[in-house]
Amino acid sequence: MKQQLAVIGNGMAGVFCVEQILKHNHNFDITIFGDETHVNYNRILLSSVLAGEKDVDDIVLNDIDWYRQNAIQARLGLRIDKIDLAAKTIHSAQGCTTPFDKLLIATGSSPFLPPISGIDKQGVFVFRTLDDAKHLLALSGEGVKAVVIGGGLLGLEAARGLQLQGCDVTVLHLGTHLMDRQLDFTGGQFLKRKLESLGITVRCNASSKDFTGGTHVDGVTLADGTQLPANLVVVAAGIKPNSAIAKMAGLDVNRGILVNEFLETSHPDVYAVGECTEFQGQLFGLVAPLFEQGKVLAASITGNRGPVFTGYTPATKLKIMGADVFSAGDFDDQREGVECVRLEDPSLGIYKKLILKDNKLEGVILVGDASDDHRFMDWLRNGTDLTEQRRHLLSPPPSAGPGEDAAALPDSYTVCGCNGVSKREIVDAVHAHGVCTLAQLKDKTRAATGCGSCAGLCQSLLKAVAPDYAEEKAKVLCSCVPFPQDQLREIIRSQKLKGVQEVLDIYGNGVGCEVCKPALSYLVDVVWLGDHDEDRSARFINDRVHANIQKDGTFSVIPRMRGGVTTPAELRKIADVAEKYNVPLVKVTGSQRIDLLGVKKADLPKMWEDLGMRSGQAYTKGVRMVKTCVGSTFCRFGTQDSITTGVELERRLEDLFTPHKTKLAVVGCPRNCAEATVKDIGLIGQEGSWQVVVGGAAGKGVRKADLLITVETTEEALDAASLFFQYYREHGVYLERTYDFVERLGMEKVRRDTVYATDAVKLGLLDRLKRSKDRATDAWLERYDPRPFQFEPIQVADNGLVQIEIEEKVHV
Amino acid sequence: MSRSNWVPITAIENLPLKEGRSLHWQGLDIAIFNLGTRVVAVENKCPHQDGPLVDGIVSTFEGRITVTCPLHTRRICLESGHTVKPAVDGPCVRTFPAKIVDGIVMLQEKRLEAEAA
Repeated sequence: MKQQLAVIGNGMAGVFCVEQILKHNHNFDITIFGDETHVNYNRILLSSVLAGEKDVDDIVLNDIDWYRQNAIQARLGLRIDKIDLAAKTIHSAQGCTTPFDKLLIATGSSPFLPPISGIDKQGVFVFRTLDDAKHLLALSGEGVKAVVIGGGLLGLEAARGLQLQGCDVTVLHLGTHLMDRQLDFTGGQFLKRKLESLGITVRCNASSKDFTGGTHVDGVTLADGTQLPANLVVVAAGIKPNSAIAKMAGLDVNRGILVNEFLETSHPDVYAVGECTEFQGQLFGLVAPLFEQGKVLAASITGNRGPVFTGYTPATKLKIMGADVFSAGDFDDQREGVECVRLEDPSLGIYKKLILKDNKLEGVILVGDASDDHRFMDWLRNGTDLTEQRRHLLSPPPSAGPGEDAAALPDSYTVCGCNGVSKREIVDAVHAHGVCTLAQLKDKTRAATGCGSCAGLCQSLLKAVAPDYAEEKAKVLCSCVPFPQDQLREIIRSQKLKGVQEVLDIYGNGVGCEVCKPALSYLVDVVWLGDHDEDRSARFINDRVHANIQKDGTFSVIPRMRGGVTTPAELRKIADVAEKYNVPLVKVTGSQRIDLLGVKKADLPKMWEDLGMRSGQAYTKGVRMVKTCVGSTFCRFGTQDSITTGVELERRLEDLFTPHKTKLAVVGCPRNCAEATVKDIGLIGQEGSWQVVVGGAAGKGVRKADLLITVETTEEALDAASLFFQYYREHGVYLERTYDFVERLGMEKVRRDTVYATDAVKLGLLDRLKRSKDRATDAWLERYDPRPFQFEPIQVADNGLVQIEIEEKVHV
Repeated sequence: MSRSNWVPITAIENLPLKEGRSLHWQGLDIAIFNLGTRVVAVENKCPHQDGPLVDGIVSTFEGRITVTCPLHTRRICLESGHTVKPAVDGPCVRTFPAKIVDGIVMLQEKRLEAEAA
């Protein structure tokens, strides 16, 4: 006879615990009750949903099939409001009764609602569930004034999400500085500056007294009398454990449900896990310790009592791109016998502080750069003696070799804090299941599927452990020059190689082929900002004759027509040229330009001369065009001047090479008549602002472009587009379109490295773009100085004598 | 065996390194390539779909010097005229003897005429 296990709570802690129970030999019929109607999802990533970086489907952890496959009954949308310990039954608010043999309480926590009058008004939200996120998404948008009460982790992530949706966001924080439980005053100041540079207004020492308005909130009044307008308020002032039903049932409860080191409550058949629990005075609000608890509990409840929960080192990571924060341990530096090691770089916005006692790390704060947080976390957890490492506390010595960092981690080290995956589990996955890619690892272990910040560490672990990993990772350009492209960029830069042949001679087979030579041509061009040794033999024919080769060896000619705007005179000229050279086909392209097809190679320079127009680069991996709609110039609906903006954008980027062709569009309103949402870079005008979107495609596949940023002025929009453009030039793999590029890197990283990068980084990108642009020229000017016999065949007289000009050369 | 007659075609400066140039002569369309230490000449017509080999990128395949047809990236051996990648049975591209003498590119006339016939 199977035992009935009832689980109250379908959140991360409860379901993770059930997953662990499934790993043991158990004898349970499992029923999970959840008061939300959704399957188990990743609550940590709600802020990413709000920020528009992830869809609801992306954050599902266990889909409904998982419940079915594991014979788990899911009772969703049912709220349990009573536990009868004597009868061993639980009761739902809807009136149904379920018996249990064992009970697992994982009710989580609820938002703490501070005593502010008017808190029940419409437009005032908490931010706890997927439905909360959906409501906020529905109400947020351009120009919406949003106030977030609470400058802690959740409040700040909500603030950033709302801002990315276009809201004007103000954060009101009661304390003296942001994240005051995790940061010292200086750290809080650094974070405040970061957020303000991202466009979020922050007010500390702000005590909210009253939410004003009728049925719907219209503002917030502070204790000092300040009035702030607000269409939308999010209260994120902390959480409290959901322990009331346990208390009513007679279980021992303080603030949370009291559990021992085996996660047992005061009743022998009742267990509890997650944010509803209290262990030795500790409450829980972060996910990592909950997974520890889940593992221990799974052992206890299946009769394998042994593993114990020992509490945890508090560690927090703020997931806001461009405003990294990591905090762990005790950062109080006023205690006796502690030493403080600090780094402050105001220009970069980086603040790091380590608290040491007896050469051991006790606490750490990182603001602005949290890339090496795992090092510090490891020192903290293990109480590592740091005597040997005193010189390299804040900046580690260069790694002795690939995999060294990973090798140094102990087996028990938690690589993925979100999903509680240890180094040992990852190594096991490699050995037992042949895992050798990050995707497989995610699938098998869940590692790196939470906030994703451990993906790099997972990669280096795989690299060190998986026998097949090296091959997969080392995607070399070509067998002629067997190096990955990023390494080739580095080689070209560090060895100061300016020509394709040099690279092939030193690092390749000396000859190359049609795969690697155009790629190397691109790389030397972009690394040296156009100041390279141009080698036409390494270019595809299109880039030798600046026209697109057709199936019969003829070429097509597309003059540049910025923004798709032309004039009667220009059209007349094109018509004349088409007639003069007997062009067999004249076609309007999908890019708002005119294509003259079937042109003989020898006619190309003459046609360019007669046209007197610029090359449209329709033949190359470069900037194709900026498609525009009519916009505010004539359109009744136009809100922005898409034509002027599109023409200017094209002017700024034309004549440059990119990893693959780059198509752009600018539209004057969200009706999107020039299809900006399926372009590599698109600008979408709306009332008072521009959305800059990237990575769209309407080719073999269709992909809606991702929002890069929303900005107010046209100049900012052009800059944002330029930042992404140059970033793509510098980091794209040759022949990688932007839609693959943004998927490979992730929009979060793309934004962090471009629009949310430090000013120094942004200026660097724009400067390199400008310098490349200064060297770039209209390719069709080559008509004035053609390379020998590039367009015309060599003429030899039939009697076997060379041309007169050659004879002259011979005799000179 | 007919007496060979080498005909001067053009100065080597007119053939940029590792590029092809086309040549119309005696009814033939020829692609001539400068490989640095020597020149090679082939019929300017890919056996696959008549692509202009002269517009191809000089490449290598398993130790052989090839040109990659610009239309469908077939690699044609510049010595033998065989399509080596993908390895297909079928007609070869005709090849013509060529050499550089005192900076002048020469083709062998007899052979040309014979081929044209």
